[in-house]
Amino acid sequence: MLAGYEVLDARGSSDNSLIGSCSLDKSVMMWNVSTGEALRKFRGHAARVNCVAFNEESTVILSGSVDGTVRIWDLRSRNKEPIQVLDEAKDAIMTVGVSAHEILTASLDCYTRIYDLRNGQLVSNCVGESVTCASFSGDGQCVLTSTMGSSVRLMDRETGELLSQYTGHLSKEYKVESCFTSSDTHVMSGSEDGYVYCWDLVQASLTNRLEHTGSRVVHSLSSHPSQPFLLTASLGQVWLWSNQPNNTENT
Amino acid sequence: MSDSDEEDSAYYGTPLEELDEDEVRARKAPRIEDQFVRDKQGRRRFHGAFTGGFSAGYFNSVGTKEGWTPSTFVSSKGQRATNVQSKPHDFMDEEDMAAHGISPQGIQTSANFDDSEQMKRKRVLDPSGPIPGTPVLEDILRPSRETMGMKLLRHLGWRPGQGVGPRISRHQKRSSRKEKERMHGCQGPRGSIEDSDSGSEGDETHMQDVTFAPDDVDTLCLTRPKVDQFGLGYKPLDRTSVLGGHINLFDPSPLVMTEKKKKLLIKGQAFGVGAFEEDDEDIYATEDMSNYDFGEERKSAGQRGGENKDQSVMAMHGLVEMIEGFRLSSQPQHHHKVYPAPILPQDFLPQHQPRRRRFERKESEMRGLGRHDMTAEQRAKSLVDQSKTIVEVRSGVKGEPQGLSKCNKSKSVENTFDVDKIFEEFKSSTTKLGSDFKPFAKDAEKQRRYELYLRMKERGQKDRFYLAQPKSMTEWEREREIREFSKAAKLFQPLTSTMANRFTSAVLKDSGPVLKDGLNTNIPKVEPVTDESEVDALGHNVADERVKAAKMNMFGKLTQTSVDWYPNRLLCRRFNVPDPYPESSFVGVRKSKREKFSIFNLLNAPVEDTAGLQETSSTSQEKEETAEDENLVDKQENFGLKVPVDGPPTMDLFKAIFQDSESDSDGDDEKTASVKIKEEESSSDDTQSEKKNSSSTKNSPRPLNEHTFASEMNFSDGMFAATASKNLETVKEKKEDKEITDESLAIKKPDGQRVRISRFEPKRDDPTSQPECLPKPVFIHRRKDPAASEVPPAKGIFANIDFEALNSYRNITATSSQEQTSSATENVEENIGKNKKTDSDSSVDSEDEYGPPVPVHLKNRLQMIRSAPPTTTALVQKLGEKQDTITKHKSWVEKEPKNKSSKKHKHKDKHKYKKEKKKKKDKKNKKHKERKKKKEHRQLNRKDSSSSNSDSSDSD
Repeated sequence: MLAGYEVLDARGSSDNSLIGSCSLDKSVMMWNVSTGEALRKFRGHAARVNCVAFNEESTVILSGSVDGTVRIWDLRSRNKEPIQVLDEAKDAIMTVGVSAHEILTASLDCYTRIYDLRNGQLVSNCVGESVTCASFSGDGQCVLTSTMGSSVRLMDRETGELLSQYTGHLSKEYKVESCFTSSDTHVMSGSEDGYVYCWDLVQASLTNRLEHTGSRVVHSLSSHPSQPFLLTASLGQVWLWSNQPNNTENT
Repeated sequence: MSDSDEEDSAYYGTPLEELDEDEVRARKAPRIEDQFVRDKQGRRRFHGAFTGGFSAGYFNSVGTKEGWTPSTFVSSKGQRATNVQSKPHDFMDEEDMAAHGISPQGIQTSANFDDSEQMKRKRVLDPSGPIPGTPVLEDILRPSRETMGMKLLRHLGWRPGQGVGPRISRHQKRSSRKEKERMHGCQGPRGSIEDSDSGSEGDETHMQDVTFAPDDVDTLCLTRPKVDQFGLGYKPLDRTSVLGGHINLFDPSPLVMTEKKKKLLIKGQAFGVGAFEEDDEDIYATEDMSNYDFGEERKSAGQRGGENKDQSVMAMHGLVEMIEGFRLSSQPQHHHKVYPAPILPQDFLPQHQPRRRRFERKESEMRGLGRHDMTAEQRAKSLVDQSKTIVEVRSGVKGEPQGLSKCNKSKSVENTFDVDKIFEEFKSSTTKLGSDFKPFAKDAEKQRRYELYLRMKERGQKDRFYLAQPKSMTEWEREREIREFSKAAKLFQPLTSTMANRFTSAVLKDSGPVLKDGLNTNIPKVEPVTDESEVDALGHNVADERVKAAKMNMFGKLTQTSVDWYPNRLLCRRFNVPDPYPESSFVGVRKSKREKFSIFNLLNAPVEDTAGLQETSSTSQEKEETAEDENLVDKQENFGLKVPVDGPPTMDLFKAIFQDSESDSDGDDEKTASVKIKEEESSSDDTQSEKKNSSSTKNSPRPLNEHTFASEMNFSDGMFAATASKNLETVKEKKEDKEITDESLAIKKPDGQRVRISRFEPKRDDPTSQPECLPKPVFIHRRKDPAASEVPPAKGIFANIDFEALNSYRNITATSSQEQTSSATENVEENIGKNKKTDSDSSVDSEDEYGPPVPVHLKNRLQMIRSAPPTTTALVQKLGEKQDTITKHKSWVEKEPKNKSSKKHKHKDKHKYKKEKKKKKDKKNKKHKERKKKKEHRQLNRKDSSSSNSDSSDSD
């Protein structure tokens, strides 16, 4: 039903009426949720598109690509050109995150970049290793970065200082994602050994390992915005975890 | 008649008015053509078919005599146009307004007393219609007002619902009903009849003398004519009635002037009354759902009696309801036999598989039994037992006699061994292949051969390549492959530094290009490559330090950088954020650092810190010079002005070089006019910036040339060294020379890199570039001089190209060839005056710049320059006089032979500056003493000399 190529990322809009997806064919597609039909197709990236993200009001969609650019597409107008192209990164963009007025990009060139729209500032932080995933914490004060060097770091958003570091998992080869839990008390990360690692945010101690039996790599995970649920994806499988025991569902 | 008769008779009614006889005579019966239909207001609305038909306005037109004028939008300062909402009565006639209750404009008789209705024409009924007689609806829809006839009938005792006529007995009535039933068959209306006499059979005897009014004439209830285009039996509901709302015509809403598209949108029903319409009132009547009968009761009522027997049949056929006017056919319909669908093959995929690429072959299109998938070699192997000879003929190797290439197994093994040897031989080649690009990556063997080809090419052993090609290839295939390789090599040759700057280099090095699947980025953990683009003032690599700091977990200030970022205004609006830079229209990040190494910013970069060209080889001449000046540490110091050791050249230096030219430019203009022309012609092959350079050349100061010409030299061949050594013999003023070299010590670049001090220095595009003495081009980032930045940018596709940078390789060759030119100058000096060449010749010379080097041609030009004919013009004569100064001056020049060769326009400059040279020579001693002083003082010296130059030009 969807694109003819491998879809690398998809997000839903804030009003759940749209789905934005990006795929290997260098394009970003918009889908109508109710009818399932493709609404728009944005072309312009020079390479495959790794990630997409809506802004809070879902008036624009941002797409990060292997060509090192983030393109911001307008959903309110019929403009086929991007509003702006963020081409500061020197390597592939792996993740794009959006807060109310900030755009967070993680790039393989070892940098995370925060574009602050309100202050007109671009703050780039060198992490020293290729960054595969970066996300804002719930309060927007911290940035969680996953790197290829098998470590997850909690950085201060303002100063770029290292607040905490979480290790133990394995991330050397794949785009392994990390996330906060809904209550910001724990940090979760996928791993290439078939587990999802869960650390305490403050103590940085490993509290839990969620085993994905039969899976080698758990590359993607996402926590419920308000409730203690976790959605993980391993090869060909999607797992839903909850904090109640014996409530794990597997699709 | 008598009076009594009149008295006896009684008068009924009102007598007609007595007509005047004259009037009767005068009035003729109106002819048909004179009779017109007029409306209530007496206006003529109907015309003949040939004169316009129905007319609603002014003579079949609309509006007034002038026609209908659309309203115009007028808005002035005093009277602002207001948004006028059109109302329905703007589009209505006055009489219609009154009819619809809009502000009654006159007294009108009410409908009850209005008898004008009686004058209404009756619709002419078409007797040939499907139903004879009056329309059915006319009987059903009666006017609510009683007609006069009804009133009269009422007076006579008639009641609605009864028939008219003499009263009849019950028996008669029943018989007449039966007869009627027989006439209409089962379809007659019978509900009311049966209701009235049901259960009254018993008391028939009691009512013998009771008479009844006859039945009313039956309303003809036949099948309704089909007037719509819907399917049979389909009863659409009126849309307006479904919506159920009362359509208020007089609200402004139905008539909306939508402002955006200026489109008059009229919603609601059309208004107006047709000519034969019964009345106006019903048109706007609202209908509600009660007017329609839905529901099953009608069906049950209608499907009684005879139709009941059909029910079972219908049920048998799966029908539910019989459409009105239809009945079941007696013969069953013939059913088509349905055959089962064919069984699909097991491996059938109900999915279209599109081709990704146009030339990709489908699997099904692969021919035959797979033998075409085999390479020629494989086929040969499979065939080797059966038909060796055929294979041999086909795979005959070039250069090998047919007999030798007998393809037995041992031979082939030997061959492969040879091939491997060749590969081994060239594999050891240390030179890295120019590009990582693998044009034949699909075919590993071919790629291997291609790499071998590249290596062979590098060593100049291309001819041996055929040995590496597999025996199975035909000669044609071999040639084609070689051609293909040479093309690919050309196409994918390593990018020059200028081109490479247009691409972003990876931050991390990839170790292997293995890409397993979409998620596997396969980026290994490698030390980040040093990022050239971010180098701070101290020369340290900032990015590197950042990475180091990050590795040491020293996050914070060391790893964080913050720059201004200008978001797009629209983006701010979409994010509901005020624009942080409302006054700026710039978008993105100001990329001063990144652009530093872009090819594009070479266009506007200042001249300072110019690297120019690098020396590629030292020459024996240099060695000799160093031998002479033992106190010199660096042999590079021998040549002219150097950059001070401590850091980049100061601004004073460049001011000294470039500023004082203005003072003598005025005086020079006239004299150098012809030279200018030449120069411009010679530079016509290059870009505008080049032209600018040439024009700046003419303005550059005279004394500077002497010690800035040769700030960098390129001696690439021994033949120049010979010339140079010859020049050395003629050194006359050794003392001065030392002074110069001492001076030159002062200005030197820290890294030993020469600085191009003179703007025009590397600009020499001498046509006499000799390929055999081409130095290996080395590209160095060089900034353009400020003069060039003032040049209006090139248009079109050349807009972004730095011709200077692109031509830099030519400058090197020009330098070397200039060497030759200068040496030629020495040789030809004695021939001065022999050749009489005109200026036009010289211009032709300079136009031939891309041609092969012609020594004779060069000589001619040199001779021309030296022997500028005194006979042509006064101007040229002046230049001719200057020849002497050159020869005199030569002693100084020869001390630094590279000075001479370093300038492209040297010869032309000679013309230009002849006069000044003469003057300057007198002052030379003084000047050199001054040079010993500090660098800061040099500017003053320049000004001195330039002023003296201007003096000299004035004196000329």
